[in-house]
Amino acid sequence: MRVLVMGGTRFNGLSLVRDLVQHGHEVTTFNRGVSEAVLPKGVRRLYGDRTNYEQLLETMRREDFDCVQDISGYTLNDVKPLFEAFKGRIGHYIFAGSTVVYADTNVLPIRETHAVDEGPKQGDYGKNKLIVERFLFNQQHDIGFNSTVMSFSMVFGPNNNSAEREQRVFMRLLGGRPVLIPGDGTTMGQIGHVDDEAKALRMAMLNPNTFGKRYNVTGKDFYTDEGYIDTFAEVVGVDPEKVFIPASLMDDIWTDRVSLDGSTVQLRAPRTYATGLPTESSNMRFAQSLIQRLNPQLHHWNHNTIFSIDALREDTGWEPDYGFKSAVEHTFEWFMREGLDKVREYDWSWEDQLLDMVRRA
Amino acid sequence: MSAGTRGARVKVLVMGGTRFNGLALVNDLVRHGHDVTVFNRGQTEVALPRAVHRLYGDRNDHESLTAMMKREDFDVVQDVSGYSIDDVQPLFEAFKGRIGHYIFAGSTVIYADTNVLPIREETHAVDEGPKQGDYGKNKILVERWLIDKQRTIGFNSTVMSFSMVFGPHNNIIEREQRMFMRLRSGRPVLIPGDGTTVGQIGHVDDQAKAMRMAMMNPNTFGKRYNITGKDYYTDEGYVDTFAKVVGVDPEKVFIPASLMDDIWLDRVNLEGDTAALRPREARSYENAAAVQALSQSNMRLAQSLIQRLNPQLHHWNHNTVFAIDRLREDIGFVPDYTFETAVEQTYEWFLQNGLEKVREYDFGWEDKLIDAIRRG
Repeated sequence: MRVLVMGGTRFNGLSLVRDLVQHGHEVTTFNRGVSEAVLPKGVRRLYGDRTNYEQLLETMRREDFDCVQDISGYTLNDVKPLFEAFKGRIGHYIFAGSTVVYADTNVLPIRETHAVDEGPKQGDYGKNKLIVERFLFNQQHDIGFNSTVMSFSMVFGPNNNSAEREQRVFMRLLGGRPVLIPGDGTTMGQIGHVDDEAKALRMAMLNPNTFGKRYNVTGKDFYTDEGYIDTFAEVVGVDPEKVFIPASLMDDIWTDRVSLDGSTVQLRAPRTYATGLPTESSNMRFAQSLIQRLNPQLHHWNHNTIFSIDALREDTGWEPDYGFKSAVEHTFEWFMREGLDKVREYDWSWEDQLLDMVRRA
Repeated sequence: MSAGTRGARVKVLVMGGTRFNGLALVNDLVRHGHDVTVFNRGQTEVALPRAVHRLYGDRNDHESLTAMMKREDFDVVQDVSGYSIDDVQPLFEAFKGRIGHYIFAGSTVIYADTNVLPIREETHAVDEGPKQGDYGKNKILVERWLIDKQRTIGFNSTVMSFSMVFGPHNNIIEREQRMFMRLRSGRPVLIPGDGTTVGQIGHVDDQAKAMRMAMMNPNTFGKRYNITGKDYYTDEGYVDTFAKVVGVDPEKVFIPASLMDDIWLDRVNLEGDTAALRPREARSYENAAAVQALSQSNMRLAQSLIQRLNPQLHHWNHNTVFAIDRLREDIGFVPDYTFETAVEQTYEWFLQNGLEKVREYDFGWEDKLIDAIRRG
């Protein structure tokens, strides 16, 4: 199959390109050529800026593909030039969506039929993913432009460009640091291994079951916050001190009643997140790098966020190869092999402040 | 009958087919055209479908059970009333070499506590330590014994591990039915901790469907399956869903985590006349037999706040959810009920049978607890 991968040089895209080539597909990538990536031999490369819509349209009008895998599209403006260039000429357009679109819930797992949250707490990222989805499904309906939205949840694994997630935990543990755990440590989350996500994107290609549908794509296991740490610790081979952040302090952190910035943890006037994404200096950035969290604006720190992958299983026969533990193992092996333990540097000062505060209490 | 005739009419013996799980199974089997025989003591009088054959006896009388069953012929035995090897052995003796499939109702109480979920059959450890009750230990013994018979003499057997079962005719009335009454009477609802602990129930008719679909399917021989619902509820989600179905908007009273710990570890006494929660010396739950001997343990009461699976093994704030993927892969089973539709269907049954006029509960200890929390 001739496949165009939009953004095939980093993390998800890179894993997808490798998976596709390995399975004998004819792969073309489109990117700016800024990040130099080692792509498998035989991959054809197109260079350009996808936000230069006219030029993108021009380039793509001269190209022929069976399937477009769009994992670097965020807005309707990003997608429209491709749609214009390819309508009537490709078999399948697969768009990487996100599970951040879903509303918070206390009956789980979240299935594709679950309500989305388009309220003021939803960020532009999620809102745009929803707008693209509606556009694509309209085109599916109106002119038979076959399209599928694959909603990625938190992706995990080698070459992750979010270095504040699993890689930070590796370094925290390798450094012998105490590990901060929100509340009683029982909040559940879920990650998907990047290679499993790639496999899902491949298996969906030209499968008519998937046309006009959204699928959750993530792993098959759920970890509690403490389970996340215990699993990492086992893989890294350490026995860390676990410091549980009292629930009331977690509430204060989440609602920004304390400041983790600066030289001391201090109280500050509460802020409201009623209107969109928090500012740069909000705690969200910190709080998410304790134990990784999906869309913390929508899901309070103690709310479980887990997704059903049954629809994808049923429609494509896909099944994740990785369990949570084997995903951590595989990623840690990569991390050490690449010598990233000698390279990565993190700011632990706010964790130290928090540790002090918890221990003083 | 051979495996190749799957889907055909099967001659089935249901051990214990007159209550809850067994009754749902008998109804399901008859509806699907199978030839059903029920064995029980004949004490619970129950309306079974007309076509059902009945055998009466006490399954604890092992000799007469073996003697009786030696004269009977079945394709499949569905054993939903067996607890120990002693219960199962007489059936094995009577039927070895003469039936196609023996399906035994096990339990998910056997599994060890964990913080990576869901609990899967293939990979997850069982807990046979001192905190495991006799019920769970015996289920594990039966399972090993059956799988050994499978391996050594080809006695085809499957263990279907039920988790908390939910629905019409539940004989454990301290679960969903207590919640219906609590909500209908406008009472405040106590919720453990922050309300985020996750649990799972299976609808009794889905369980029956799974047991039927497993029959004579060679994929299932010599294996254990988790069998429960496809949804998970948090404690607060449990109450919210019930409240929506019942049509009320209850006051939710969250029990502080530290008090939940005290309750779970029996450091306070929920029983008795005093309005105060009396502190008492912590008891040890290291030994399940000792726990069961404690008539005044809080476990019975604590489980009837929001229903809990095996609270000796799983602390009140630990999530207990089970994968049903293996059953889906091997027999194509998918539950029909979601959590909400299970609550709806059960509430309809509850009202249709006028149970809201019949059920009576002791809410005294809940009142004590509510008082204690409000006083802070």
